Amino acid sequence: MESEIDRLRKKVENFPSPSSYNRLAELLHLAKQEGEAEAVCRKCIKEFPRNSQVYALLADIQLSTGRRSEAGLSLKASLERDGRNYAAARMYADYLAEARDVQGAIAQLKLVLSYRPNDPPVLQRLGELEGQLKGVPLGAVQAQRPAAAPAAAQPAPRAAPAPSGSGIRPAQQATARPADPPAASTSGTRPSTSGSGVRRSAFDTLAAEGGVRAAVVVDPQGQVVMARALPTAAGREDALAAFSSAIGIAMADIARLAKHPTPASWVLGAEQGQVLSFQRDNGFSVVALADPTVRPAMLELRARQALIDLGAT
Amino acid sequence: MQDILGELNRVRGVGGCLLFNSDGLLMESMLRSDVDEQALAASGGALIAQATRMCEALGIGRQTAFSANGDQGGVMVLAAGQATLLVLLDPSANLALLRLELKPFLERITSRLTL
Repeated sequence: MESEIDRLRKKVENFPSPSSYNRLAELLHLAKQEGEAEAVCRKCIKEFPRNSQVYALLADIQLSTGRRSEAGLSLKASLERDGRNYAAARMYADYLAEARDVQGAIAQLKLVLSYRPNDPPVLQRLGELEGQLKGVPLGAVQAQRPAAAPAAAQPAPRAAPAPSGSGIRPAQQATARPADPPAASTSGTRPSTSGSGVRRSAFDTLAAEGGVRAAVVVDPQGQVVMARALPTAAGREDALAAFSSAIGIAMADIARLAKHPTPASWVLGAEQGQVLSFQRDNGFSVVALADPTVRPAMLELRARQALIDLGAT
Repeated sequence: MQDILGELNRVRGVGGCLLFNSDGLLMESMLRSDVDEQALAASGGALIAQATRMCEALGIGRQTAFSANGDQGGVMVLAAGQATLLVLLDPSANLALLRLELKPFLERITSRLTL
């Protein structure tokens, strides 16, 4: 991990990008180097003020160092920039619950369900919070600390993309307290349209890289979520997704037998092309079919950004 | 063959290696004692079979190499004549350097297998 941190330090010096800043801050945070992690986040915010993920990371750092009010502001900022930032939304819901705004937390989680329906962790948390409200006067709920509130201090679960939806915004507005309106209630919902644009553009940037013939976002079952292909590779997106998923499973077997964690990326080189797959922690992969001359390291940067835009932490 | 694999294991970044055939059957190995070499060869065979099918489906010719890399290690799979060489990588492995360093070993293994 140390070498990865050093590599990223050099990368943000020489070739700064939101994804490399995010990754560096994330690794420093994991290594308990909170001071430097925060400094990296702040530098990233200066250079890439539209980067939603860095605000979520900053909030996580602030929560871990006990600065709750600052964390709340960072989460609001994150959701203002991308209303569908799953990690930020989950953290913000936990933040609200811990601040005894259970209804605000419920509304926030419902907002997540609008673009990620049937998400098990969200449904479970929602059930817990609604259970607290059910049969118990709101004041009583607000007077006690929710059982799951400390979860706010933990890293938020990973995210995934989903169709936009804002049907529950009125409910959110109805539950928002005038004194402390959750930023995601209105401004957090609206950016989901522009957020979708950001998502597409990061993936499009990858697909538009010189030498890339096709790129797909693949879900854990090997199905295509998004695809871009040049005419020469059109019609091969499904094969790219299905076989990359099968290779990922075989790779996971090898890693398990070798007692390694499953590698996050792989490259299959062939005489007339190469296939590159990149994954982060949310189960989704970005897979590209490229010319043999394309350098994987360059594509990795683009793919990581696309994955972050898709909600990976 | 053990002598070649032994030398290969001494290359910086290599954490073990094994040779298997196209059916995923183990030919030779030089791995840590806690790794199930037969199962690893079989999984390597499955990986190569999927990779071959993928190359055919995508029309990109014959596969030449496969590598996977993570924070805590990785794996590199390379053709060595009729056999396939699977190399386990340490976190410290430099992939680009390893590719260069593995070439002479692949040639030696290939020539040894054709003898």
